[in-house]
Amino acid sequence: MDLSGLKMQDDQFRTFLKIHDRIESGKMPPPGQERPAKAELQNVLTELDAFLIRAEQLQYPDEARTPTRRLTRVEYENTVRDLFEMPGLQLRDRLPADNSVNGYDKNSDALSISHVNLARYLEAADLALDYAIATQPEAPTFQQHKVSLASQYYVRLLIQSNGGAVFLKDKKPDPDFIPVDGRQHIDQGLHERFGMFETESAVGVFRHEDESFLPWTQGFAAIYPGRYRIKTSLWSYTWDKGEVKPSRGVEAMRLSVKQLQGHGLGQDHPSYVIGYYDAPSIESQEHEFVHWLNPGESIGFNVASLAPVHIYHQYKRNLYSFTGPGIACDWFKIEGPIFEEWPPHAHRILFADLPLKPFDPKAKELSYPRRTIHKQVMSGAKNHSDPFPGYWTVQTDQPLEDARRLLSQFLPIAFRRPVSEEMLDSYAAQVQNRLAAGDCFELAMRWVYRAALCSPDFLYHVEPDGKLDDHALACRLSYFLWNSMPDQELMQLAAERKLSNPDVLPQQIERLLQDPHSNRFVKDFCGQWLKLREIAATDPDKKLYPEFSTYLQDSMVLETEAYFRELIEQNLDASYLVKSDFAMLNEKLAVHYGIEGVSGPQIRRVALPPDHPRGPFLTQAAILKITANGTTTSPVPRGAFVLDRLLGQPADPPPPDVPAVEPDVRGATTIREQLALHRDHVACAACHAKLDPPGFALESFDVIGGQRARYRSIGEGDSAERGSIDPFIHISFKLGPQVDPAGTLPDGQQFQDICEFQQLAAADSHLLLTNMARQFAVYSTGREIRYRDRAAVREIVARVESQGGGLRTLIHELVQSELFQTR
Amino acid sequence: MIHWWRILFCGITFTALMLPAVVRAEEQSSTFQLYGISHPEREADLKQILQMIPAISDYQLNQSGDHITLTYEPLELFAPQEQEQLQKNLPIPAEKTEQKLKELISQSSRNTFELLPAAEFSEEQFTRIEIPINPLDCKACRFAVYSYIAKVPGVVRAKISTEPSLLTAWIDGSQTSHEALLKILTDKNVPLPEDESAAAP
Repeated sequence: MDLSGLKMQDDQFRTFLKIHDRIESGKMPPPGQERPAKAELQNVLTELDAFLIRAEQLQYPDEARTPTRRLTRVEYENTVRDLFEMPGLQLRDRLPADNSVNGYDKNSDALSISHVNLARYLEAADLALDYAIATQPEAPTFQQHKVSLASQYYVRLLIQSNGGAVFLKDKKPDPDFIPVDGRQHIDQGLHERFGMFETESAVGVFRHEDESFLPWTQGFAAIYPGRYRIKTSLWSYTWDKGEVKPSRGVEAMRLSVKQLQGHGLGQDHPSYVIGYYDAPSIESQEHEFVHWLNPGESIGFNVASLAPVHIYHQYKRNLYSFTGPGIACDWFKIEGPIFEEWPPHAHRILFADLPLKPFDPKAKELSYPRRTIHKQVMSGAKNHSDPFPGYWTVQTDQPLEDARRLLSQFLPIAFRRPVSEEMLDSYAAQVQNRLAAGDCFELAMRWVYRAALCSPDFLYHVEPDGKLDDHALACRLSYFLWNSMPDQELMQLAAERKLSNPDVLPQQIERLLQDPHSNRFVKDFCGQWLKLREIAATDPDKKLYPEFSTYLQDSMVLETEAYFRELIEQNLDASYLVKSDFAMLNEKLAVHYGIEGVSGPQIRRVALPPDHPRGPFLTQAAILKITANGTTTSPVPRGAFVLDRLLGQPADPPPPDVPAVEPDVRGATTIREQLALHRDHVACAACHAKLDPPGFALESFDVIGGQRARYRSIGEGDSAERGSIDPFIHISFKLGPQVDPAGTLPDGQQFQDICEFQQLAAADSHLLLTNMARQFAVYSTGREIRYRDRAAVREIVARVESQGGGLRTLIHELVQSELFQTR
Repeated sequence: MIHWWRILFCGITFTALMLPAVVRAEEQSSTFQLYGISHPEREADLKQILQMIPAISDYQLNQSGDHITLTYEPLELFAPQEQEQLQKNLPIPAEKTEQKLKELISQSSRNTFELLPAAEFSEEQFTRIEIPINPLDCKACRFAVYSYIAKVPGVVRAKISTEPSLLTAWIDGSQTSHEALLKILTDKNVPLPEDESAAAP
């Protein structure tokens, strides 16, 4: 009876797949059992291979490898930003969160769409058009302002009464505003009227941000969206009971963008980090960067590298009894908005050089756009809005001709491919309808632009069946390495049908990798592959891990992203996933890892001694935190992560009727002891034989990635040494049982500690490289690797290995493969 | 015989005599009681404030620092648009210029200086009281203490000194008292030596 024509269920397919894989890997027959001859085994595998391919084809007969998929919300935001050259436009968080499949939101199976998405796309398009369309004939006035940290009310409160900050003049306490000495200054309001806070003095801050202190530069908030140049001068010091002395080293000031709500007073404003900046000892260091600010955004700051200290509570607001570190800011200088031309690119891509002319908003003959009057939202800000310029709008004497001309330029760029005459006609007809309905030209065009930004041609990756044409290839390449639309050069090459040329494509891959836009690929890929987006999903227990901080957490993410970037830049092979002779560290991480000689918040490459466990993804703090629960570690999730993400051999999910293991924070038993009972269960043994070894090796690291020989506990145990924990952090945890990181791999190889495990794991670089090939393929093509793709992956891996096995080479080979270039 | 040089000389002399009359408007002086000199260093602050008002060309403080005579050009106190109107009805009434002076001083100093109606008095007419306060190194703190007391009804003059650290006030005993002022300071959390705090009502 021939059953080959029957469609298989998914679980049946997986069973036969398992049989194939176990025979191929030599795990079947089990070790010690009689084995068939090699030729016989090969015959079986060949038959199974053909059977599985046929079965898969029956399951997915007519489907292209990658179904039609929409842009993820990150891709959407990047695309709109690049289309209008508005790099700081905040759109992603307005859209519903994307689902994910096996950690990837780029997977087409995850990218559903609903009426909620469409409603949000309309809002997002409106926001983008509001910012893009010029409403006045001249650019907003360029303003330059010098702002002190003391511009903010809460910092003034610290200076005047709470002791968390102090004025410094010529690197000494300012004699005109003495530090609090147990008595607060009298009457803050009067001090403000007296102008005591309007001083050229630097502000030295001791207080770390917390739930009641979230500071920002209250002297400036952006009124107009655009680029702003931000400069600041920072230094650090040791405060010794009223004297300023050299600091312990280079401290770190964190700068962020604060999105002010309402009138800007109050504390709780959403924010995102710009970066961490050096504050060297005594000598001021100036920093300068250009950043996009949206209306109502200001610059937040935090003395990130300092431990939380409350002069008010702990020192009874007497700075003359306090000795400890501080970070000083001489000033902030903020200038902008900066426009190289007016109207800017965002307007020109919509309306080219059509003139702006005044209009009367009360006129009845046409509907004119409503204008938002730009106002300063923040009380006390120095920058002010321009006088109202009147009402201006784009006007033309030949609206239909100009509409068609503008659409013929905009639509191919927005849709990332040529647009047919029929499509152009349909959009132009909509402009005509809106004009006939009484809209002015700007409103009619805006209506159509909004429709275009919400159309499937914009929201979806449009790819033909079979081999991708040059335009689709340009898009797939660009969304792989830039997470955004192709630029003009790529589109030009696609239009000339040169992109798929074997001489041209490698050059373009290199160009994209070398461009700063590729940092989006690094961030997005690591966020999905290594689940870095979940870094803040757990809060480490404050008693067990008092040294944990946001600065440490941010540094962890920077380490992982920088390490991945370095693997690509240096074209290092896949063994570096699990073992390395270098790490990407800043001082915070180096101290956390017990590595000496690293100073300051900048991430840099640090050479490690031989057999040092740190460096690779396997032992990076970010991975170790993501695979823990904030209180305890467990070999199971860590082992599962290593198998799935690094080795590409995910374990089966647990049987539904097996209970979870409850962690014991009292320190009475170790997780290993608790798991021992679990592993003896017959339904669990097979998976745990694979899961537990990497998990046991990683027991050498706690929930925040610190290396340990003993478990921390809050119950029984011995007193703990402070070690590298900041002296201002109180420690109360104890040291419990010893960690046992030894284990045995499924093939019988044994290891005693993490270093020996790393040696064993790194030996199979083929496995690691094959996994990376699969991960890149899933990310870049938007689809899981199916059985029938395995041959293609093997071929790519073989080509890469013949060239040294580097990950940059892997990217090249993948992009040039049929797997990548076929839908 | 009229020499050309005589004509030229007379013309130049006449013009020189007339020019100041055209360029320099009529200056006036007014005396006010001055709120804000809490301690001697405040005179430097006052000078800075007055320099921000170009119409004021000179000032004189009395010895105790609580009265000031300002010399100014009345028309220049006002904005150009207002000057045009005022020029049609010169001279400007004294109340108007004095009111304007008060506004300018208050605004420029954020109300840390104020001009009040002149009320010279002799210290012997009033009771002098002294309240020791804890040393205040911050000039704004010293002003704060002064500001709590200087406008209390019955207080005609107040001063803060640093050595010794004292609040000195001259009061009309029928309107206020030492105890009343002590209570104000205590209520405002002004740091006082222990015995003063104990004596506070």
